Amino acid sequence: MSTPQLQNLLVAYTATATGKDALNLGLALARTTGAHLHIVTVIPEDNAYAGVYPSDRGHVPIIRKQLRGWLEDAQSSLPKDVTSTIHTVNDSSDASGLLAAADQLNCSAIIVGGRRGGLLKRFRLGTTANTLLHSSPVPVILAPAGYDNQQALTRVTTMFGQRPGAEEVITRSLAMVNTYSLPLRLVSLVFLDLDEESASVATQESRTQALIDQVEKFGNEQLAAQATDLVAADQASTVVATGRTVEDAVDQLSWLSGELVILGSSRLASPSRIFLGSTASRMLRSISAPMMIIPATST
Amino acid sequence: MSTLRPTSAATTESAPNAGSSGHSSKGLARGQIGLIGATVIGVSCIAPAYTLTSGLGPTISTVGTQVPAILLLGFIPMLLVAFGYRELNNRVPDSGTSFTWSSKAFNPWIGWMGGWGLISATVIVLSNLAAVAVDFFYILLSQIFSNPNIATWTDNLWINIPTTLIFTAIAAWVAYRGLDTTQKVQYFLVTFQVLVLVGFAIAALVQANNGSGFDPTPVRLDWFNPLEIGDFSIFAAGISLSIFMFWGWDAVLTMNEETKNPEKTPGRGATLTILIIITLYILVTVGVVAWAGIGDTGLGAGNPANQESIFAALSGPVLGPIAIFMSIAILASSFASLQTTMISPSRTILAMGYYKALPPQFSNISPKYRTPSVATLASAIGTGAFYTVTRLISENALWDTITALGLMICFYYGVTAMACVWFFRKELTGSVRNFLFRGLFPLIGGIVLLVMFFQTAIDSIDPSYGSGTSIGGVGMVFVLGMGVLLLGVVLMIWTRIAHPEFFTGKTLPKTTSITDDTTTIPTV
Repeated sequence: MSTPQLQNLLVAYTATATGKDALNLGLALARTTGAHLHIVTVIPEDNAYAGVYPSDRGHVPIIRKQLRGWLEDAQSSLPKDVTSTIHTVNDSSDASGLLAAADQLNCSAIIVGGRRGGLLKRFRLGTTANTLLHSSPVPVILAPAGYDNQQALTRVTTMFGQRPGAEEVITRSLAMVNTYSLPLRLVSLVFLDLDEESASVATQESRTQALIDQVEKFGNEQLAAQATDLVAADQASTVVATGRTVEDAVDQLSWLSGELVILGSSRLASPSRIFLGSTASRMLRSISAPMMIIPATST
Repeated sequence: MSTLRPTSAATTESAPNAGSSGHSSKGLARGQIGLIGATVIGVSCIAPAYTLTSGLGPTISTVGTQVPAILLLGFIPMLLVAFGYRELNNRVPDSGTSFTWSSKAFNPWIGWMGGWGLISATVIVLSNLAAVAVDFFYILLSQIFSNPNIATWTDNLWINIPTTLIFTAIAAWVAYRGLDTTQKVQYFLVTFQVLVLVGFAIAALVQANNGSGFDPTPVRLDWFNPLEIGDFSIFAAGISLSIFMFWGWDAVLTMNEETKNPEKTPGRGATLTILIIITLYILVTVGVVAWAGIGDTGLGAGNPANQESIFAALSGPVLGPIAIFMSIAILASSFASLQTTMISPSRTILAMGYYKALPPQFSNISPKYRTPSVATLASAIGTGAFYTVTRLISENALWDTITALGLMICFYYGVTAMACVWFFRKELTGSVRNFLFRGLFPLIGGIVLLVMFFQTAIDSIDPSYGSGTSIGGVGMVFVLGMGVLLLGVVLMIWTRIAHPEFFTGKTLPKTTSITDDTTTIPTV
């Protein structure tokens, strides 16, 4: 299992509002974790099979120069307390260029902006973000449209369901809150139609206990013990969000400006690849905080 | 997990916080394309289904039954020029094409006109591609709904022009988004086109042989003999047209790192491409002439009504119910070409904007898609405007634009070939190979093409030239070809006045192959 520490973060940058969202989130994460930011723009390249003719490659240095200029502007907009490097990568697909760069630069996560102007002004994913979510071997961190927090994160919210992969999500979340001394919020989403009984869990204590049980059930004993300790030390809180639908349940939750949500991806994923299940993709659309999506099994 | 996946095209170039700038490195998809792939790309760039339906009619009208001969001959100057292109591309791969090469080799004025020639040629072919796509879109609809009336909608300008503009806009949008045709789609399109064309040729030959063609004409050996043509004007016109028919072939020859074996794959791919294309063209031509004859009535290949789009007239009668496959092949091939060709002028316009040969706004790049924005829009508007104007002033717009296109290709190819010779002039004596490939071959090819350009231009003043459409007693082909070049001269003079830096040699200085530094571009 890889170290959950975030040492190198890849920011997928374009000189757009979406790119700025990703950069802001990168900055917030770098300030939280001390990670180095690799700010990457993909220079689009012809797929050779497209047969662009007449062949004129005179645009390549011009576009590269402009994109580097924009990257330099982005880098110079960053405060001095974070370190960063700018890169361009040539690829015919943004997603595959970013994945190759993340691999080459040894990045432990890819930060990408969600698309602006979705119906709910939250996540409506662009093609690139969507492709990354379905193929990245490292966590993908989505910046919501209009994300403008540049300060260190103030809380980690973990959401996990009854799926394989929960152990990885819980492990990562606990490691993150322990390493960077962040408060943890354990969230269980309960859908009324499906499970009337557990929705009626009344007291805070029994709710907490139910969640710790889930940590044990879908994670392991050791993780449950860690979670118990955090709750005892007032470092972790628990919330059960109820609703008829994913959207209803998510609407019960409140978000801090420095929130980071950690989610798992579906068991449909091939090993070590992210693949979103329907619940996760609905959560993606309805949660207004940055989200880190963990691949099913990390190498 | 620290090594790069082999199929990935990634090379990162980096500049650390400290501020030192990374060295430029370009990363094409390296070493992926083998002989088959290169050949598929070559055939797709030529788009034979589209080219034949557009170019065969005018060529038959010009040279009669000697089409196979003129095709074989027309290929030679193109090959000679392509050698020069290959040398320039290998030496200065990222330095553009006609515009940058001829600006560097000669002077800003010739460079500007070379760039304009390429932009005009691509804009003209784009308008023709869009028009052919629209024609076959309605033919296909009429075949699907078994309603012949739908096919005639394309004759209604109120339907035709808006549909063409919509097709153009879609292609421009796709190009702007940076989306392109994938390998699978390309393999399918090429295979499908070749199969349909071979099927058409065989059906036509079989029917001609058993006498059921429109005007069965026995195949004769003198169809392949260029000396039968006799008249030099006809010869020049035929060469111009056959240059159009082969346009795209040299795409393979100028490929390099993306091939598995850069030493051999491009040459072999280009050879295989040309063998396939020549075979296909001759087969289809012989099939058409043998089936329909070159008479000017009914379904005859000499009938001007059929020559604008030969398959629109003949695929139904020859193929019967399976003519629908021909419609699909031509629609797909012309639309795919429309979209990939749209990318090309936008890049030349971008470069011209960057070097201030056009107003600097033309070098704007979309921050989101990282593609030329204003330049792509300009290409689309140019295409739409050219099409609308030619369609409104001439019923035979397609035919005459093809002839004018042949003229433009001869012009920019000729200029670029000369630029190659001049650019390499100080390296010609180094070896026999250099002398031939950087000097003699492109020189001969360039001269031949420029001679064809001037001869065709002069001949096309005749009002009966091409389709026979004329304006004020001057042939339509001349009006289109020279009109576009004259418009270029006017724009060039305007740019000289409004943005003098380029013309004073400040942004793209003259240089030769010895002194050219391709790793940097001037900051302008």
